[in-house]
Amino acid sequence: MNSYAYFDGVLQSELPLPELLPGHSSRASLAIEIRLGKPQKGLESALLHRWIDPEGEVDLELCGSEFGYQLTVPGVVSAIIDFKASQLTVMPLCDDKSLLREQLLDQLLPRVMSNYSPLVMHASCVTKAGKTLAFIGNSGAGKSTIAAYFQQAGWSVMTDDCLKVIVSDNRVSACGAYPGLKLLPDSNERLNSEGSSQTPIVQTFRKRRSLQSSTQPAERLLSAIVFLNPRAASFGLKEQRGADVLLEVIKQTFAFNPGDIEAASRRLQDGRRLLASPLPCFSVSYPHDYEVLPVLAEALVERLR
Amino acid sequence: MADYDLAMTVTRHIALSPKAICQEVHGEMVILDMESEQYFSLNEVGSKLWRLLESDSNLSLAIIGLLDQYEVEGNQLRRDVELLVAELISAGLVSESHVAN
Repeated sequence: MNSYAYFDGVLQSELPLPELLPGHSSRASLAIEIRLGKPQKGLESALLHRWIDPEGEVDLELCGSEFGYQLTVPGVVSAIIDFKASQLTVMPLCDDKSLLREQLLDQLLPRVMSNYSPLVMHASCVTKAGKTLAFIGNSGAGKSTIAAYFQQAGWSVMTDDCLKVIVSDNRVSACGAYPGLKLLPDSNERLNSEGSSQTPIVQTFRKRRSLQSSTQPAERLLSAIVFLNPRAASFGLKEQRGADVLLEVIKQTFAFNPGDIEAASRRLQDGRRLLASPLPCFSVSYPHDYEVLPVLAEALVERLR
Repeated sequence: MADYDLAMTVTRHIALSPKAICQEVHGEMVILDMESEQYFSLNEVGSKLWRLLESDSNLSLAIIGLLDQYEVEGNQLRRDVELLVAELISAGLVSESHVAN
């Protein structure tokens, strides 16, 4: 079993996870055990939810059985989740280990984490000198690219994909899943983000993934949340509140079981508390062009002064 | 009293779906329909209409309640409310019934 840092917790895993940093269970707020298992046939289960992509293909399925919950990426990986024991039994459904790990780290585990914490968001996050910015947007909006740009400017990457947001006593803090960057080849080349020489680089699909730090970033107070709206004709930045912003927060929040009313209520309530806090929320519209990055970064830093 | 004739309104009742959960934020509202697992947002006026219908499903009374709060021409408000109610029905967030006076 290896111990890996994941958010402010630890994964104790039979499955090697070179994408993650070593973790220490003595300092962890949550420890999840990951065991390897074999697919079980004839297991009776009830379908609870299906996530379907725009082409109509099933991305992910959630089922419930006497053994607990089961999350499956068809043809890739299935995991039985026992929340009482904080344990996952991971069953490979393909031979591609890096694909399996990618789906486990970026799809399954964030949803498992959302059962422990209401606002686990599809977001990147960077921090420097007491200022911490979270970038939220759809896949392809530029979360990782923007994080990579800020890193070039001396900021540290807390995460490029999954961020736990905690609202407490009118303060909003955040904690990243792991300090990695996944970039397409042109962004990698342009922003030259290869990480430190000691960290592993894993090739998945067309993106290269690299760790950007040798230590797991600690939880930090957020300075602002930035909602990304790419493919606009020109650059625009404005502060926003209200129902549309809450809608966007919820859209970008992982849900373990979208049909669970209590969990959905908690997400809505925490989202409202987030927007009711003094934390600034900005909406940024920009053309999908590297030349805009310095303008975007400067405008945001200026607003934080 | 506003220039709005209650006698011209059909006594319609708009019932909110029991599967809708809502959250207000800065005077607006986000609604989650647990049936379709879709989210919707309402602006300030829509949000106030929702709250009024929560306490009394009589649509005419809800419209009068809105007229008390907003300085707007009565028939314009009625048209806007009718449009919104039609959208809410289409989204499955509310259902309509008619009660004879």
